[in-house]
Amino acid sequence: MSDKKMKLKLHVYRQASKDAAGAMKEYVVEDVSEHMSFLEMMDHLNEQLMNKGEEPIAFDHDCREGICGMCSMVINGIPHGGHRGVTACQLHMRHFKDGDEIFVEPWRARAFPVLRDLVVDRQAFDRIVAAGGYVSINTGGAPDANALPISKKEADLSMDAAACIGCGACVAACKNASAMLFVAAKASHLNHLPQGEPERYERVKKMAAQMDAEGFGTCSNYSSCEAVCPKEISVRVIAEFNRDLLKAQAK
Amino acid sequence: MAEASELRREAASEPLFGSLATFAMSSVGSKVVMAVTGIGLWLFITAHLAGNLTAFLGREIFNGYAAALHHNQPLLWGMRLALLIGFPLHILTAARTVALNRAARPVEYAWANKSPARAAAKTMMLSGAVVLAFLLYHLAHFTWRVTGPMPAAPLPSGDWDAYSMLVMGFQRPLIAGFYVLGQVLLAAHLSHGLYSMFQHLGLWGRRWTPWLQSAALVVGYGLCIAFASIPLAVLLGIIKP
Ligand code: FES
Repeated sequence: MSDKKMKLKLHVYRQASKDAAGAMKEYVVEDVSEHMSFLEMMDHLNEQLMNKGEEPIAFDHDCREGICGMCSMVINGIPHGGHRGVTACQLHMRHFKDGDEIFVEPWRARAFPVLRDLVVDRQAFDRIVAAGGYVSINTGGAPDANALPISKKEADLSMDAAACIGCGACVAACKNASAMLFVAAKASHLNHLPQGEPERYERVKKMAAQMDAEGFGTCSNYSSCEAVCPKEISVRVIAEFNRDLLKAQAK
Repeated sequence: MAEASELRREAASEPLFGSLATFAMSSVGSKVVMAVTGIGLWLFITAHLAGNLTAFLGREIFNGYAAALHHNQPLLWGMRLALLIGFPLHILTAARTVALNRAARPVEYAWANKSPARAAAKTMMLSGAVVLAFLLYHLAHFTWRVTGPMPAAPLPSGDWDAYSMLVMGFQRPLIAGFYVLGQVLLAAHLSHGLYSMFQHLGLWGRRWTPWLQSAALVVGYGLCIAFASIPLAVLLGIIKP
């Protein structure tokens, strides 16, 4: 296995704190291995910065295997870098070549204020889930597994939506900064299960109201969200959400 | 950032979306308004086209159609009323959502937003604005009769000689060109809108949604070609004075 070393020019958004003004800053990163992930390349850059006594670039990350949804970088204008079905942490540097210029920016949305550099506050998502993305369960013993049969079709629809890791790439990609793909995925995953079904219409009403209160935009069906979603969640969930919300008006 | 702290971040108190008006103002509801008014406007345009195409059948039939429409006051005013409600609702809701969406991203990407989206979808506002400008011109031309060449005298029956108006207007390349341009932008608008309305109304099918996207393209540009054929036919001398 060859291990070519690359030299890259990065333009990274830097902002010292929530209220400070930010700007794009230029960095040159040397000795980047093509086996590195994008986040490892960022670590590598940070080491170089720290050696020089500069402040390292703050960015969110946790699992580094595409399951937690923490990493959140708009790479060359596309959230997570534009390779189908991958998060920034799963993005390999072999997709870049020596001498490339790369632009790295945080998610941009009014509802996701920048806290520092590439780190944004995504608690708006938590509040939407808290508003209706749950199932009310009366306490008691845990029910037996398989006590409630669920058809394969419904289980699949639910599981496809449940794949959402809440990273917020959908909002970052959308020209309108709409959160519909996230919100609809969270609703769909519960709405297709017998446990979630009874609260279906209440749920969509509450989640939609919270979504609007958070200051996200409206959905114009660009489908950019679907294109950048690292879990490849279909805009089907959005149509479903719209339908449920319409039906909910009559309830 | 400062703008974040201004957000209320609290959902409206009960009853949530209780009234229809509140729903129509919400982000999902405003798109339902766009979809429903969009369907109405599209139906109107299709009916309008069917009438226009009688121009190919000659002066008598076209003028007969125009006169029949003019004398059928209930139909005419029913149509006008529907348009007087549908158009402003469609336009004002569009303006409101655009303002909302701009506010939703106060800081744009420094480099660019390269996330994929179809061009027709991203330019709905632009195509809509040009279609609106075209519509106003078209009304001034044929309905208010303040622009464009006019036949010297009405028909003996007292009706306007719509056929002559059409031919005299479209014999001027500039006017014909503007009509064709208006139709091309209308086609772009419909090619996204006709698909989008189904999404907004919650109608999605694994198999037929992709089909629908192609159908919207065919219907949108089909209407455009059919409409534009009239000024072009006049220019080419197929529709004769
Ligand atoms: S760090 Fe967990 S998904 Fe990227």
